[in-house]
Amino acid sequence: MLLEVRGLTKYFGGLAAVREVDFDAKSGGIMGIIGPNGAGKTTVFNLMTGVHTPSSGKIIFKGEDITGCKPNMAASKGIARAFQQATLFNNKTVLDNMLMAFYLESKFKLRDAIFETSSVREREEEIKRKAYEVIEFVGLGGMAEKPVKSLPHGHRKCLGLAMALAVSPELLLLDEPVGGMNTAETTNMMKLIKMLEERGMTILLVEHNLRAVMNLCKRIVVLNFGRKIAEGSPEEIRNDKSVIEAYLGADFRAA
Amino acid sequence: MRKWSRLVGYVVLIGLLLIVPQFVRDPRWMHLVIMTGLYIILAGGLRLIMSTGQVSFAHAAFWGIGAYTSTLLVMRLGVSFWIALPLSGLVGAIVASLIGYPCLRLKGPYFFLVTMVVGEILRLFLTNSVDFFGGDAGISSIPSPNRIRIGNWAIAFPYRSVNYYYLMLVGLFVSLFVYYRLERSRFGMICSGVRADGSLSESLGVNVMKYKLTAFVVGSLLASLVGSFFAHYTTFISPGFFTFNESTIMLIMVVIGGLESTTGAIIGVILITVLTELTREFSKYEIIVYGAALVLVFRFAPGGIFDLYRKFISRLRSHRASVA
Repeated sequence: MLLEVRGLTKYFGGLAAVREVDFDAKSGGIMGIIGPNGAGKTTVFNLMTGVHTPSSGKIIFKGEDITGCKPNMAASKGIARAFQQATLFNNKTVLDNMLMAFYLESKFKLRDAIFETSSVREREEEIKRKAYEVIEFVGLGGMAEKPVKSLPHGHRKCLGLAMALAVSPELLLLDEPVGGMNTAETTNMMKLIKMLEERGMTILLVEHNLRAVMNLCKRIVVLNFGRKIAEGSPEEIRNDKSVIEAYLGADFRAA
Repeated sequence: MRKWSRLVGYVVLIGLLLIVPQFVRDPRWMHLVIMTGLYIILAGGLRLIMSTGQVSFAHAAFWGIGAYTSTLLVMRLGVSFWIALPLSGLVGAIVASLIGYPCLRLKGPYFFLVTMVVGEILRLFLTNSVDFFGGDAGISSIPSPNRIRIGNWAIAFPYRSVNYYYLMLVGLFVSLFVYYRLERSRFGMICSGVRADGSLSESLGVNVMKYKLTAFVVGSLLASLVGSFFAHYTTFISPGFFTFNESTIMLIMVVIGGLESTTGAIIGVILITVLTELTREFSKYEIIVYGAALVLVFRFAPGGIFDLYRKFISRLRSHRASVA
């Protein structure tokens, strides 16, 4: 098992944002987390990446307890994340954003900064080459020199994904990957996510676009008011009474 | 080709700096030149700290820590200046680590508030400890650095000797080398990422704390080294030199010149120094001049003067490209 979440609970003051949530993710494949606004989906991501420390419960990644480790540690252990708001370094170009993201792999030391040896320079070249490769992969080829500020929303999301990939993750967390996108952009992003799955990456995504979720995911976890109310295949979820009541709505099955 | 022309530029610049004492014969002006050099080291260090998004108001305090450490080592323990100099840098770095390790975790304005308090504590501590630190009156008749021998050469440092200028120049070259290498390498890039968005940097695996702490310790260390040199060069120090006001002036220098580059800090230092000299007769109103300069910069060049210049150049280039 790649990821085991056990009894995950988070209180913000008196409010339980996440309550006793359990789920597992096998290596490979796409898993979805859905639920109404405020159900605790993003909080689960924040707990997994160490942005918040759980009040109780455990997160086990590759057999190792990573509960409460810092965000940069989570990243170096192989958990990467693309943010909901397409968070980028706004005053920089696409390429610079990518170079920043490749930091983890570069094993950079302070003395490398001061004494620029040829091995340091070679490594910088190597990183640059890789950065262009990933930019190409997410379909931003030819935009490397553009300032991020000028990118449309869809491209920003693609760059956010590309930056998460630079961490060379085993587990990729996508927070609303197609949120706010038009149809063409959505189709493109879904194609990208499927390609990553084919390359053997394990993906966990939070999404409100149910067409995308049902299409992409093999398993779905449904949260409501911080609790897990259902888990299963898209077919099972579609027909689950409590899910229809809490989130999908009565006419979803008909549609 | 470009590399060569740049190299020639550096050589010419260094040559010019080496013959400055031939033209500046008035000791008062020489003092001003030396102080400008010291301020460039100080402001460059503050810029390094600020490049990670933290503002230290204790920068003058570290300058003072270096000055007092070195003075006491030489005067009370009879240590040679050449050993007291690195030791005072070490003391500055240790104090910076002790303050930075717990306090750089603070978000928002709290680190800045802590460093303000640190500066104030140091001042009160020095002024109230008359027996050991000389109190408000400070310490005078600080001995000059011992002469150094290299083979048959002996370099001595009598009061107001031109050799202080060359010693300052060595320090300036070394610090600028460190500042520019840090700025232009991956380190500088990550620092500006940490400043722009700390949580995004963290999610990409950057140990934000490590970068903030490194910048703070390196900047404070160099400020302490400047302090050591300053004490033995001016032969007199008092708590009044290293206060909140001094930190504010250094901050203004960095902000006016531009935070994005060490070049900005250099421009800020030179500009403020010239402004101060021009308005020396009305030095009571000095702070008004700084204030006005700050307002103008914030209004017309929020990234500082150097940023304004860079934007102008890049616009000129793209204009030329579109014409051609």
